[in-house]
Amino acid sequence: MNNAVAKKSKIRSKRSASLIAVNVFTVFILVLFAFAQVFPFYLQLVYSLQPFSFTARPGVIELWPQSFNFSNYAEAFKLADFGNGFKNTIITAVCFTALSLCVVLIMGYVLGKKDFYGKKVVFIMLIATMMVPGEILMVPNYILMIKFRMLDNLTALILPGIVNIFGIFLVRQFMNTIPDSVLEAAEIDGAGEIRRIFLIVLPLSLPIVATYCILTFTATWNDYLWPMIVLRSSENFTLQLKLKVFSPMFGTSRDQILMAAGLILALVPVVAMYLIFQKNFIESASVSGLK
Amino acid sequence: MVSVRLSKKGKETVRAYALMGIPLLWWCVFFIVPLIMALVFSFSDLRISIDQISRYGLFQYEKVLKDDDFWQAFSNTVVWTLVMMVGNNVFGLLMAVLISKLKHGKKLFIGLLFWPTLVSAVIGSSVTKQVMQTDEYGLLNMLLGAFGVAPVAWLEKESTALFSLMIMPFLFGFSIKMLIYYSAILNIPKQYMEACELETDSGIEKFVHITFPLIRNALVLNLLLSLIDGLKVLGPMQLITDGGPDGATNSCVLYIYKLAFDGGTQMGRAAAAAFILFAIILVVSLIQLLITNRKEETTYE
Repeated sequence: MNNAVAKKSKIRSKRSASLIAVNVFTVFILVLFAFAQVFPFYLQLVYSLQPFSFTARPGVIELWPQSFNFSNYAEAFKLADFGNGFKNTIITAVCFTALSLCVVLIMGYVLGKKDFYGKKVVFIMLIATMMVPGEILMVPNYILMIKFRMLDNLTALILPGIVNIFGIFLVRQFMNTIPDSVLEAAEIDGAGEIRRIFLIVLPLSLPIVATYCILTFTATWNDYLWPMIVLRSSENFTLQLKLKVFSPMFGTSRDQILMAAGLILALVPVVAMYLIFQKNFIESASVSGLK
Repeated sequence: MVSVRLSKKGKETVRAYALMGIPLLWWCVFFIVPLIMALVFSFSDLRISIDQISRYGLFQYEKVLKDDDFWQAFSNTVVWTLVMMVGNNVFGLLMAVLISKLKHGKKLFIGLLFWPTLVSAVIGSSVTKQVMQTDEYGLLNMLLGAFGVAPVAWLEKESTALFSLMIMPFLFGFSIKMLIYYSAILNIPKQYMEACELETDSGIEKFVHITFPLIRNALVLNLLLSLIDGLKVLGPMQLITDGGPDGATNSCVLYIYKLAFDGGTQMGRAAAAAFILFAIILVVSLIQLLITNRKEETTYE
């Protein structure tokens, strides 16, 4: 009897020893990858703080700045004209997110909650167009922008895409969770459709609205291809375009330092948003994948 | 006045279309009309202005399909797609499985490994450029230098350029895949694992018999997403090497872009090339779905 217990505990301790080994290995791999992802960005951070007198020694990776020169950021901000860049990006991202949210809510509500003739046709038409890659629309939309005199204007970034099909389906799926009785009660109280959408549907679908806003806002913030096609003059450039064309030409290590500072400046808002809304970001991403 | 009596559904129909009217019209103007325009353009010799179209025919499709540059761009795109499909899914699945095995700190590691998704193409390319460059700031050459390897001009040589663009997306592009695998693993019912633990202790066996079959849907989805994203790749090629040297890093979408914009004036041909790419994406996705569906049948037999 004792023997059996001893044997059991021996097996258990052997098991737990191997479990610890496995766990240490797991954590090691994860840390390795997390580190490798951060490291190139960390090096940029170090460069961005170096004094202009800094020169890289061949074969030496500098892990700590010689001194902390935060004024580099001010200079990069001014040289790259990030002021305008931030302004244009924020205007575009906010307007686009807000407008497309209205459209997505209305369409999602109608397709999810209303029973009407031709629903299937509308539905299938919208689904079918989700297959079409945006690259096909590059040329004709560019020509449309010329015709509508929207070229080199932020409206060209905001208006064309506000009927976001993916968003419509995201919201429509969520509509099942809103009980019909709530909507009927509002109807009896005499609330019109638009009021019902914004006073009842919107507050009840806040989780999906948050998801949609986060996905749309970051996508707009990071987009560069369409802005590059339709924007011409540098004062209309978004942040990504400002960063893309930013090249200080001092011909010294100062270029490298200012470039790094510009990159960090462009990265900071997104990382800050990530730190604040991390939970929502991760939920949004899993929703977008499992649609 | 004649009043029209409508059934309940009739009333709802009027309301529904009243609400959807503007969005649907908008969608027609900025989606359906451009789509038809693109189709018409692809059969025309449109250069910059619509007024200058002089003839219609299949010639643009013919030109694209006979263009060696297109096929070079296509083969680069295929190589890129295959590499990313393998790399991002293997690493994504590995990270998801490892994180799900942790007792503590799951959220921490998800957070730590997920943030690169938010790095924009411009920033990511700028960092890749830094890592791969030849001068004293190039990280890869520095690391290799420690092993006595002479600096290589990774981005400037035809033989290494495409491969150099791939390294960072290959190693670090797994974040979103990881998250999809991770949510799938979380959804595996606990009883299955416990039942399996009665039979075996081996983690590998558990993975092969329980985890893997149950996250099949996530796998199919991830492979399809990487396939479509891969075939539409543009960012690194355009921002780091601009397709060079000598077309070695050209991609299908960059080929289309360069025909129409960036000094190019062949908008009709660009539209034709875009439709060819669309057809390729459609066919390949369908083939992949057929293959994965057939496998599903055999596993249940």
